[in-house]
Amino acid sequence: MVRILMLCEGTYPFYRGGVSTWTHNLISNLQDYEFLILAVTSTPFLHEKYDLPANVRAVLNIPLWGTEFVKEHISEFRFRDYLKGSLSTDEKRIREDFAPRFREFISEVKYGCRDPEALGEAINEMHEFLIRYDHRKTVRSKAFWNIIREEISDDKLYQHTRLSYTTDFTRILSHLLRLLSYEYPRVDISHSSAAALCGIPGIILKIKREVPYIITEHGVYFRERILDLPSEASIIERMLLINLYRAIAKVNYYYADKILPVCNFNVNWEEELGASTDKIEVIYNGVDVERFKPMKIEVKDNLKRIVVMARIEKLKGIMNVIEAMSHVSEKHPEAICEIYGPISDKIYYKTCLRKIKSLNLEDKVHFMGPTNKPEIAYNRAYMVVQPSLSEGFPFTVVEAMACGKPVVATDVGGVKEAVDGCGIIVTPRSPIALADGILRLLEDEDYARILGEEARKRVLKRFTYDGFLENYRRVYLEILSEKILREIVEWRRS
Amino acid sequence: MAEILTDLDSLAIAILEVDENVKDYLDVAVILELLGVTKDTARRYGCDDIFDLARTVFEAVKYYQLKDESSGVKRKSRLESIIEAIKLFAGGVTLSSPWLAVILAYIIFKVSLLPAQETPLASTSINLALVFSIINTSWISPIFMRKLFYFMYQRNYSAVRKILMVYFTFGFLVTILAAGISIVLVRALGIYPDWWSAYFMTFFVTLSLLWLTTAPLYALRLYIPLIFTYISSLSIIGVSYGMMEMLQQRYMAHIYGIISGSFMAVIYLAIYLYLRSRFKPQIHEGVKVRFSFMLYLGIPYAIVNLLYFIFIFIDRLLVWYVQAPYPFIVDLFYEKPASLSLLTITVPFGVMNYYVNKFYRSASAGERRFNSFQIDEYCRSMRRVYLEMHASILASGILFQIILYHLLQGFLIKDETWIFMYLSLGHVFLAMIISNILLFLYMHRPAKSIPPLLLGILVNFILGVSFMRMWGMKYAVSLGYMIASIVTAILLAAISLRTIIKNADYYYYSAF
Repeated sequence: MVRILMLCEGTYPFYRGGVSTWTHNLISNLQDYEFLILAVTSTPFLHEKYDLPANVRAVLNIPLWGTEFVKEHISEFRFRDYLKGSLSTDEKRIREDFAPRFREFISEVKYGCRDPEALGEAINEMHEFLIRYDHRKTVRSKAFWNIIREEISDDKLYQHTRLSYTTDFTRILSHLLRLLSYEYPRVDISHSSAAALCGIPGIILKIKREVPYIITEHGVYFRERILDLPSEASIIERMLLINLYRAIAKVNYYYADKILPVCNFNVNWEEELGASTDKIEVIYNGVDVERFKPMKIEVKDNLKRIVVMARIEKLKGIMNVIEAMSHVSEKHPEAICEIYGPISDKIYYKTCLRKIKSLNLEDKVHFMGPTNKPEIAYNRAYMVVQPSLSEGFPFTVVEAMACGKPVVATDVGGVKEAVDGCGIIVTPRSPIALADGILRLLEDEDYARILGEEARKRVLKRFTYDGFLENYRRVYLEILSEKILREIVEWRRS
Repeated sequence: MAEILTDLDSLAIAILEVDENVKDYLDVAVILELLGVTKDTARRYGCDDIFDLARTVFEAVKYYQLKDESSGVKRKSRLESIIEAIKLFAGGVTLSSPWLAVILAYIIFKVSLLPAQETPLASTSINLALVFSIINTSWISPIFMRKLFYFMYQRNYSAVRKILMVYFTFGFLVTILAAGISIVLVRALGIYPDWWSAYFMTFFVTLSLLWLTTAPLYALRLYIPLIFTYISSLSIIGVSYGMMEMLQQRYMAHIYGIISGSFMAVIYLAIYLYLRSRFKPQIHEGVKVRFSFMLYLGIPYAIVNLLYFIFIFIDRLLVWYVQAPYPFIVDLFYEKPASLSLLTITVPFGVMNYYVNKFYRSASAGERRFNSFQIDEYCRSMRRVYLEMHASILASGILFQIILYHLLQGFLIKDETWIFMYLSLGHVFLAMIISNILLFLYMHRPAKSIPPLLLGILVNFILGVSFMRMWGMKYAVSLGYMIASIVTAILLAAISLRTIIKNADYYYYSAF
């Protein structure tokens, strides 16, 4: 059976969300493939949020934070193995065997990866060192810090970063390098769910064992990291982080055999970051049209429900929908907004509550918490609103469309491609535009009904499970056959 | 500029970059104009004019200002700084609270943690129990407390409970084992009477329990409950005294007091953990505590603590060592000035705590102040704080010693005065030793303080023995302690200056 290493970062199987849903759907429906999951997370103390399908053979959680020693959280990892590695790690060995590779790595990273192959090789050699020697001693060594000093503090551009920033950057880097301290399993294909840090094992397997490497890109990793940059950082400090993310994305694209964005919107970014066009193929997400279908849900009132399905965080633009509701409720007091989703940012949530209070919308906007039955929530709705500031190809929009609901969504990521005339697209970050879209559907019930019907038809045509799975089967087979072909050619040559 | 700021959040952040202290929407309007925002731009945001936009943006600015406050960006006022300095000083004084509370309680209320014995032999058993109980527990707590603090920071209360359970069990077993071995040895040698062994064992076990149970309070910096623990111990002893007339019964009063102190500490810890987990909910679950890893990192910390306590008790053990008829007999003549000299440590400890915290703060604040090409200046600034710390400890310690000398003149006869003076000065340098050890611990380099401490112990021992033989007088031992303290402090300072201070950037990075 073909074994696939699924590479995830902060998503499946420990966190819920769009990427996790995608991963779960893909694995559950490809029962003729075996999957090993390598999850890069921030902490070792996590519980799986999904019932793992039978074809998942193992889950390896690689926490970058939360333990003092790499692998300390793994029961099978014996102390004497650690001790062996630790005792053989000293400053001299680090200086001679690790430092030159780390210098290459930093010099590539700080300029956003001028030579992806050099960066890939440096990563692979650092991995070779870290699987044998102690990560903790290595990143705490004088040699490690000296390279940072020479490459960052002595660099004409970066020397103007605050020392605290250089220290924090190095600490972050030292934690990221934990990822390289693990042995990766023998597999036939590696498949990363982002062109991110989690793709690094895929790159290493490609270099070491020529394992074909695929990336599915939901939101563009590089673009999303830019949105997350700390606001207090100076331009040069931001540049250092931007270049780190750029380097990670570029090296991923370089080594990938196939790049599979979930929408065309991502393609521009990927090409901009050096991904070769002939590697790129858009595969849209599919939804379960039997689960997400129009249903008769009894509601005892005559309220018109505007449903938002999103985590409560800044990037999801919840504040905009609250402000939009203040305009909507003036004209349509029967409209209420129900927001389903977990609270990811408590400060933001409190700000939203304050906003609701200041606008006297306490009886108009309700936080409903997370739900396991989104199909019920959609079917209770008069319309579904997606107010995000950034998205890839959101499941919520497609699921709502599959339920035959008209959608008002912001023009971000691949949303326009999903909706394509079967809903209303509005300017992002504009409560007024969002309110206008909502009002239009509230005031014209026929138009809303027609949009809903068209949306369902579009999903059945373009975004079904079957199409989605068929595409992935084909890609897996293609790259496996290419690999076999390459091996035959080499065998013949030899 | 305004063209690329496409949303309210970006505008708010841009405003804060120009002026982080904007107070109202008019300030915002001025900066918006500076950024090139026009009436047309304002309309694109759905606002009537620039002032309307400024009001909207100001809402977002308030959100970010709130966020900055919660992440500790807010600057301290002068009054807040003074209050914090006083708190830190008091915190340092409480570091010496066991001694301070015990001595003050004895001076004021004539109640002490240990019973005042009329015979040197009885006093020997209790004092030896005190010294060996401290040495016995000194190495256990650092191994566990390091990790306890780590998990506490992670809000991993189930792991904290697990560590505490193992810590108490392990500590108790070690104590029982050590007590058992001591009794077997004493009996085998047949040197002390049976009642002596009973006294020793009872006090050794109960005092060990007290040190074991109060160590987590130290580690979690719960100074008020720590003082409360000692006060409750002393109160129970004081109250029991009134009810017990016989001297033997009074000895039991101390046992009750010490046990109830341990009990209070455990109850406080349990309540504290319960309240923390109730009101600051656990973030992580399903933890696996790996004791082998914990032990591996904890050993250098354990050695440092053990050596430190051996260092400070060497003079007593030398003075008590008499060879015949018993190997150890407490010298009550030495005890009085030695106990009074402990008062000296309070002020330098307070100063030390203030400066050690200042050093920690400067390490992080300095990194924000200096750019990466100014690493040498950063290290120089850390050196200034470090030297200032040592100068202040020394000056405050000597000054306080002089004050104490004048206050206690009536209590001390000639040789007692010398003992008091030598030991007091030694204690001032002890504060310097501890400040260096704390810096090494803060930078996660405990092993660096092991060689100077070993040397200190050696100097302390050799000089103590030599001076006693040369002059045949007990106060000579205190001179040995003073010299050893000075030598150890200088050595530790030299290592600090050559490593941690010289390469403050590297050590600060690698500490976390």
